[in-house]
Amino acid sequence: MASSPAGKVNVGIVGAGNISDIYLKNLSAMFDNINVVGIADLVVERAQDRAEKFGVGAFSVDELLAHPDVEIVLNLTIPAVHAEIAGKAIANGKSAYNEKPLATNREDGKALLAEASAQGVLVGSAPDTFLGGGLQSARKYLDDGLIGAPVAVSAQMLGHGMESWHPDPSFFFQPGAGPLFDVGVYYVQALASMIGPVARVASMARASFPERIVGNGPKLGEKIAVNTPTHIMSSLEFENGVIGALGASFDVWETTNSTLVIYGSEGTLRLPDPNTFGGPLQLLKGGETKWTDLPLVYGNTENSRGLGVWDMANGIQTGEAVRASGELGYHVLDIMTAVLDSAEQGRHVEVESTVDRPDLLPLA
Amino acid sequence: MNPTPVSPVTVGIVGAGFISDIYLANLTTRFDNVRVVAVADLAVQRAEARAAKYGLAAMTVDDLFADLGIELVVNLTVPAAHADVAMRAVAAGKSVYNEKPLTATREQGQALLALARDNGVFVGGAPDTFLGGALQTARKLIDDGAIGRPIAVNAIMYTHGHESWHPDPGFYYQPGAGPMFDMGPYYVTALVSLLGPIVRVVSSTGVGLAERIISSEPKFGETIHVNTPTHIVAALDFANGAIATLTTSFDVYDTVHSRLTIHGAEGSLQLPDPNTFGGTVSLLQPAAFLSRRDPLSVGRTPDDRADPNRVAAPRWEDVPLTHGYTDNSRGIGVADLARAIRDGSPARASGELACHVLDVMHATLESSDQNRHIAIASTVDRPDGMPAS
Repeated sequence: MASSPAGKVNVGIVGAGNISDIYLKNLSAMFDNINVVGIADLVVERAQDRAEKFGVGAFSVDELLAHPDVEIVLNLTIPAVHAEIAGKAIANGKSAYNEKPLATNREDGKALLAEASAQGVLVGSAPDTFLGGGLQSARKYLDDGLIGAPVAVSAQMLGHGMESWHPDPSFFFQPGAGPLFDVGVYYVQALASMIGPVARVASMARASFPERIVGNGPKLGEKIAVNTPTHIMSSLEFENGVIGALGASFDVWETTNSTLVIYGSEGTLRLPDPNTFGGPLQLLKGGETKWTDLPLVYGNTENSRGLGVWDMANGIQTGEAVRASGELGYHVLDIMTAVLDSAEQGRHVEVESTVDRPDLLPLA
Repeated sequence: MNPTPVSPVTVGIVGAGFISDIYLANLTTRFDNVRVVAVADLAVQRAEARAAKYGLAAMTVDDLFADLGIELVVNLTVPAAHADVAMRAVAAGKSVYNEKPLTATREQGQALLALARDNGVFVGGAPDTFLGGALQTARKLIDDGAIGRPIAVNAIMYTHGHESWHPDPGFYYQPGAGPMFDMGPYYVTALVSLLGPIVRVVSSTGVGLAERIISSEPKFGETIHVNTPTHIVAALDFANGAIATLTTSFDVYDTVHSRLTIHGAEGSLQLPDPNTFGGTVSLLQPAAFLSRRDPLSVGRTPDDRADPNRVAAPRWEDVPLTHGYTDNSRGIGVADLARAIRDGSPARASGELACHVLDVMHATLESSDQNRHIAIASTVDRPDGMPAS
């Protein structure tokens, strides 16, 4: 039996890369139901470095996955091994929470859900930005009928890729990443959590540039072969009849990088960048010409990565449904995969999976 | 040696409704290669009123078609009559210029082009806003390489429908209208004229509001049953490799009513509402921004807003228009067709272009119902740019 401090769930982290810093910071300080047991990485020094900084244990990956005290494995590895690491955690009887995406393909994602269900453990997945103050407030206003019945959504993530500033940008242009899986995932998940499941998608997609050139850092001038679509224009048909336009691009020059708008029968909500936790949140009432700022009625407006782990720990303690669940993560993966399939197959693609909208967080 | 003087093309107008006023005002004063001689309408008094205002002859429709002195018929009838009136004009040996859409169906459009070819006459069609100063300036910028190879378009037409102001708005919500056929012609024509033909489309369409309540007079309070999609999200593949997203809607409230952005490999262009002739053209060219990049910013992300070495982001800059016709110049397509009739070179607002646009719009509506991407059978060359003024 795992031993954990009273009222807390023990979390072990695999993957001590960049993103582990904010998780460690938040899980140690922001959430009162979590105890971080330790961290592991294939590169031992990296794990030791992080462990020292945050006063937690350093382990090998196998040690951590088998550690008797660990109840949730927080999986911050690269997308290609998300399914493998989570699968091992689940086989060891632990719940798993993956960084996005849940897995890189449907089969792996489905297998994780089945294994977790068989083991009686939980599986969850980032992003958890939809649990932040900005998007939870939007969800509350939507559910309260502020804009009437939702009719349409527009989600645009348009930019020119990461190779001008990122020191090692190659992976952004490979399968499993690209603008949809890397950034679009925030938009798709925010929409699925607010509007509900998607039933059918259609798209056109292309890599407008067969290669990119690193514009910064030690690899300056190196060429990157592009192996995944980098300009993806799609439509999402939600089960409730709402039609969404979803554009994700690494190929275009724009100054408006993020647009996320929900159109309702009585008005329109302009949402914040769903890769953030805060605002602004704006309302246009039908027939009016001025947008007004809406107050955020939920907290967690700063970088609160780890909210999903907090929610999973709460689920373990109380039996309540987990919000950033594996089922939601899988549906989002299914939608994104279907979008790429549609462009390739020249037809609309039905999204097989479905999921209930996660509950709103309780108002503080 | 002086060039041989070219006689103006004689024009007869069929359809003396609301839109005929701006055509007549422009065709009687602004273009010296056309000479309007007659106006006809099924409602004789309407034709007489317009004729009197512009000092022209009023005729019956039959007389106008029989008049051997008329070379070009400008067809401003209701959309349902476009094909029939145009076929009669062409059968009578006249060239014809139709208001949008060219015809209701693709088959009618193709039949019209075929008959015109057989009879050696020309067919043209509105819209001609793409010949205005804003879109022609954009065309020149693209052709001059200001944004590099075009790779994407973001086109949006958002309204909440027309029942709040139009006295009889029911037709907007019936097949043959809806946002795609109402406003799509401006967007699709502008895009084909800028980027060339479209080869494939895919869409999702829906009806956001099944019923609309008229809030204008005199039908205030009446209910309209919606029988055509009013929210249409489409993606268009161009022969040149660009992908466009085109969203047209009568269902949404927004303060952005028109967005038309052309993205190229080296920059972007923002264009005004393509239902206008003038407006603001803005250019985003990141090259200057990139060349100023500070090597000290290695590894820093664009989010490091406090970073003192962070370079200001590129900005949209308004571009002075290089081409004229920036006010309401409806009829410029007729004048261009008249030029083509005299010099034999292709018309810009041609029947072939209008037919291609019609094909694209139909395919866009069909795609969602047929659950597949639809290849566009027709194609057309980009019309030539206008000479700079």
